[in-house]
Formats: sequence, structure tokens, C-alpha cells
Amino acid sequence: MKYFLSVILVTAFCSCTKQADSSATINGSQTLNVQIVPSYNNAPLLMYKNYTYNGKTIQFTKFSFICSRFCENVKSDCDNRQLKFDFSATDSINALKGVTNSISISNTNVQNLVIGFGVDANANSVIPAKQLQNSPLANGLNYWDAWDSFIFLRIQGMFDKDGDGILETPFGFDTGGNEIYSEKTFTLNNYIPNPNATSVNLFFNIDLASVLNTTDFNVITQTSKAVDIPVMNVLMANLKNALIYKAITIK
Amino acid sequence: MEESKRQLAISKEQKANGRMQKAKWLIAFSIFQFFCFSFLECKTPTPSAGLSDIAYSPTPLQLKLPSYFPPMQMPADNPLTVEGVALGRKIFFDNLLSSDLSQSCATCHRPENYFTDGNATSKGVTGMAGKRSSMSLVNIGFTNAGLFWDGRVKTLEEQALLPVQDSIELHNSWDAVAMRIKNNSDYTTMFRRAFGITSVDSINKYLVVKAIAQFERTLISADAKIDKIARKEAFFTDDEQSGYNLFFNVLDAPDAQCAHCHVSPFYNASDFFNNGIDEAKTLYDFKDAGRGFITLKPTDNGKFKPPTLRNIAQTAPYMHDGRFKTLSEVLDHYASGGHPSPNVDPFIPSIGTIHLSIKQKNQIILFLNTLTDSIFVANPAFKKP
Repeated sequence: MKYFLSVILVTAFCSCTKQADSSATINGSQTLNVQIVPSYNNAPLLMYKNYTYNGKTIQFTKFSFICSRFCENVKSDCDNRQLKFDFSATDSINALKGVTNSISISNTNVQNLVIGFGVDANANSVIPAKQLQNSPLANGLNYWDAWDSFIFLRIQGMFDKDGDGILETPFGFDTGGNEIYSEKTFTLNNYIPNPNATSVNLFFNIDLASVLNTTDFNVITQTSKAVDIPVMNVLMANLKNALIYKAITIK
Repeated sequence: MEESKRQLAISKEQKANGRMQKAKWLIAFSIFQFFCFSFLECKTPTPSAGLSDIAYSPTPLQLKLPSYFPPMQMPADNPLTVEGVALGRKIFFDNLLSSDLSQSCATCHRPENYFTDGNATSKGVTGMAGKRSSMSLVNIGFTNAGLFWDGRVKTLEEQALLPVQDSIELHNSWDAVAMRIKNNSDYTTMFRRAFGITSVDSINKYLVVKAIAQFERTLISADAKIDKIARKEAFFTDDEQSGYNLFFNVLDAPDAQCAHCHVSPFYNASDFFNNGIDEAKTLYDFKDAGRGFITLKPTDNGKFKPPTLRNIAQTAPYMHDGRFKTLSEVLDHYASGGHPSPNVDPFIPSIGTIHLSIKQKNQIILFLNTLTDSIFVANPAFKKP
């Protein structure tokens, strides 16, 4: 009987511990899921699908960017991790899911969220081998050796430059560098503080047509050189403007 | 007279009976002998009994890595030990892995060839050639994004399982390999010291590949000129520096686009690329689907893993099918802008537009020569024990 009671007590104790762990509010911090759904002119963005850009056919093979330094309300209170949003869906179902990454915030009353676009100078000064192994920055493929910077925006694909219906012109806009990094504050005006929330999901949309915006493929089809920095600056500014905060759900 | 005839007949009969008796004994003895030999052949080898008497205290092995190398990720269930590496090294070079005892891992991954074999494609025990070139194992322990040209397996342990059973390669069965190892007292002792087995029955393919993987994780090349330059012990010549600038797109140098797929410190990549090596009108027209064969995504067709360029000057021929014999041929391919296909990497065609001169190509090759590590290839720890 004693043995039986002990087993029940231990089981009950374990169950209680598990319940406590499942709460997102741990030591005052909370998980915040950032979901970004990509589109092209308001249609779901699919890789290897034909779209129209400046009246000509365009197809994307890669679209990804890195965000970092997620700060709540004040810039001193930040999650300094870098998160990669890599949109590789080739079907509508996955395209509409977008990409979700999670960050940890210390305050449950978040009204403003600051997002860093790209990788700042501090993080750029650390080579991939010295980055945290679960960070996208640990992958040398995201690093520009000669520039001492990570590549934090990639837009690649094929374009029908001469308008004959054949995708003959590859393009690749790889973007990085300390001077390109910037931040933007999003106001979460419909945020309802809930200290008992188990998850907070923020929904964003990004329209790739708005990121390319006025890029003239007759003038430039790739960025990967120092002389391309002005174009990179435009692309990153476009990226910031194209990321639109849509909604929040709190559970 | 008749009596003597009868006695003669009886005597003959007795002799015949005696011969028959002898023959019966001989047959019985032969059958007994046959069963004895059969029993000896089948019975698990002798060392089991004394295995527990052999000390099991494996010595953890710490790899010496340069500061600019990332930490090597190890499976939690297969930590590096001196004993495990020694065992893996012995197996790596042992022909018992192949069905006809003619080949081992080292047949296609020769230490003197920086763990490649110098052939476009490799021939297995039956004389048939595979369809892809043997990849270098140098710094292979740092590969976390898929092994083989198509990234079909994730770990070295999983990788080592495949060639033994491949009908074109070692064409053997793991049961046969395990039996040969179990019958070898040197091996059973080494397995005891490396993994603490108490019975030879514990020796199986999973332990064998763990040992091989441990040895492979020690194959670290970090003493090339490029490493000495990183340690500020050497400097580039002017031409090597120009080659580096072209390779990495430094400042105003023409962009040879190499570093999109070959990033330091291993000069490979954790992704798969179509480097324009074959023309394809649609995603379904590639001769070798490469990565697409594994992921079953058409958009991955024609993509392969960029190999390490460390020691590349010593590991000809090049590409997944070994089609190029020299680095000059490789650079000519890229300088041409490659062949068109729907998923060719966008930076490949642009190389054709910068019109690399012969001098610039040679400068890139001179830079690539700085990745050759002659200390690695001379290391006795990587040779047949």
C-alpha cells in the first residue's frame, strides 16, 4: 500500500512539474512567434513560378533574409539572436504558411517591437566558426569572407529581359555589410497584455514585388560587389517598407 | 581339396569383411571429422571468454583545431577515443570489408591522394565503375549538411554503412564482415578496448561504422599555406593575393564568383548547387539528378554539393563525374559561364561576362595551390597501420 501511494505521489509530482514547464512565462520571459508570409503582388509567392515584373516574365529561385536584435519597447531590452526567414515553397499550401521563427521577450506587455534588418556590426565582426551553432550565422555560406559581413538578403531567379517569353537572364541580389543594417519599429496597437499567455503570434506579410520595387534589370542583375552598395541600400530600405505587420493572436 | 577351397573362401570373406569394417570406420571418422570442422567453423570465436579480463578504460581524444575552425559536432553516442580511432583506422584499411577480400575504404580513399583515388569514377570488386567520383575525406568531420555528392546521409556513421553493401563497391554483407571480425582475436580485443564489449556477439555493423567514423573525424587538414597565412606565419605572393582577390571578390577585383559555393575555412558549402555543368531545357532533363534524386524535388535536380577545395590541386579529376582532368579545365568551364538550365546558380553565367584572362585564371590556380597541405598527406597517423 505504501509503495502504491508513493507511486501515486511521484506521478502527481511529475505531472505538476510538466504543467509548469508548458507555460511560456518562464522567469518573466515569453515566447513570441514571428510568422512572415511572402507574396508577389498579393498572390502567394512560389519559387519557380512565373510572375510579371515590369511587363516581363520573372521567376524566383531564392528569397531569404536575416533579421536580428528583436527588441521590445526599449532598445536596451533585446533578443540578440539572428533569425533566417527562407522562403522556398513551391506549392500554395506551404507558401501560405510562410516561415515562423520564435524569439524570447522578457516583458508580457509589448506594444512596440523593434526589428533589426540584417546583421549589425557587432555580429558581423564574429566569424561563423565563433557564432552559436544554432544561429544562421554559424553557416559559412551566409558569410562574405572578404567583406567581414554576413549576407542577409538574397533574391535570386531568372528574368525574361528581352521579352521573348524565355527566362534567359539570371539575377542574384546578395546583400550585406555593416552600413546596410538598419532597424524598424512596429507598433502593435492591438496588443492586449496577458501575463498568462502561453504563446503570442505576430503575423507579417512581405511582398517581393515591393522589395524589388524600381530595380531596373536592364541596368543591374546582381549585387555582390562594393560598388553595388547603393543598390543594396535601396533593396534593404524596400525590404523594411515591404514587411507589413498584420495581426496578433494571444493564447 | 574341397575343404581347402572352402577355407580359402572363408578367409577371403573374412578379409573382405575386414576391409568393409575398415571402410565403415573410415567413413564414420570422416563424418566425425567433418562435423568437428563444421562446428569449429560455425562456433563463435574463442576470445569471448576472456574479453571481460581485458581492461576497458577508453582515453578521450581531443582534436586540435585552429581557432578559425568551427567546433566539430560529434554524436553523443560516439565520442572520440584513442582506442576507437585506432580500431577505425585498422578497419578502414582492411580488405575484409569486401566480398572477395580485395578492397577496403582506402581503395577509393587513399591517404596518398588526400583520401580520394585519382580516378574519374571508382571500380568496385566486380570491376564495375560507379557513376560518381570518390570524394575527399579531408575535414569530413565538419560536414553536417549531408554526405556524398547528393547529401544522401547526414552522419559519417550512416555513410560508412553504405559502400559495404553496394553491389558496385565492396559488394559484401554486413553479416559476413561481422563474422570475419568476430573470428579475429586482434579485432575482438580492440572492440573490447574501444567499446567495452563483453561478448563478440556484440560486434555488429553499427559498432564497426562507429569506429570508422571516429577515424574519419581525425582527418583534419589545417597546415596548408592558407593556414600559415591565417596564423600570420606566411604571406601570399603577389599572384596568390590576386588569385585570392578574384576568388573572394575583394575590392575592385573582377568577381570570379567562386566564394558563393566555396566558403572558408573548408572551401565547400552546406548547400547544393547547379554549377552549370550540364545543359537542361527543363528541370527533368538532367543526366544525373543529383540532389533531386534524394529530395525528389524537381527544383533540386542537377544540384550537387560543392566539394572542399582544400588540397584541390592534388585531387584531380574534378566534378561529380570526374570529367575535368585539370584545374585549368575547371576554370575554363566557369569562365565560359557554364551551360543554361532552369535552376543554374545565377552567379555562374555572370562569370562568362567578366572574361577572365589566362593570367587571372593562373592566379586563381596559384591561390588554390595555397590550400595544399603536404603535412597532412605525410601524417603517419592517417596511413595503413
